[in-house]
Amino acid sequence: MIAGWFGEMSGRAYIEGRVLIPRLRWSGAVTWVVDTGADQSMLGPEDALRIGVDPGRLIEGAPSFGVGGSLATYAEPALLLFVELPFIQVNRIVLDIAPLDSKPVELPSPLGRDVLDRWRMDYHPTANQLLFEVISADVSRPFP
Amino acid sequence: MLQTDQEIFDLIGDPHVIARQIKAYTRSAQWLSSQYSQLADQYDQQWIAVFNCEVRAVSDSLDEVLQAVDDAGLLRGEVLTRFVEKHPRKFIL
Repeated sequence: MIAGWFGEMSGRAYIEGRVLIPRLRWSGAVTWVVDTGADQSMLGPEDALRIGVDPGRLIEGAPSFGVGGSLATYAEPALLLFVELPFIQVNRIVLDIAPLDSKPVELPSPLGRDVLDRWRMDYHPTANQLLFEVISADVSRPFP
Repeated sequence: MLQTDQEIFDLIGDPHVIARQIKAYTRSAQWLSSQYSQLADQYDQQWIAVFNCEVRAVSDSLDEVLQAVDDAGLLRGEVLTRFVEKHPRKFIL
């Protein structure tokens, strides 16, 4: 099982993982917001800046639409890694990357259904319990 | 484009290292969450960088905080950055 957690003030559901963008060798840890309303996962501008994304090297993707309107995003093949002992579970996705000048820049990074649909989720905030069981992954890297 | 499992294994490296990094990052994120009120009182409307459950840099701009992270010899990918404010925004994602 993968353990997530709930923000103490916001109550948002979070889960940590690692993102790798193989084409450009960018990587870093990310706190994802669990977002079943997101069709695809997106790296928010703050996380993108932090892990060293250079917009000059990105490929434009299709715009994303949400409550606040539309957002022109970049699209990059990426690997999302999560620890589910005794494996590192790897998801191969096309990751949306928000423009680095998006406002607000502290927009969180949503983990969308491109990953969540491959998991079973136990969402129980009153018991402070957020657990995920990986049903399928693209690669399961065992611990040696 | 990565084709084989082995290519992916080679790229992601040692699972123990990955697990350790994710665990440390999670600890910092949960610490920040538990301390948010105090941090917002102290650093309202500022960016902070957190590493190993400790505030390591503070600035009005994310760029300056990231520069401070670089100057401290820390890896950006392992450092948590957040904009803290006394009245946090509501997000509908």
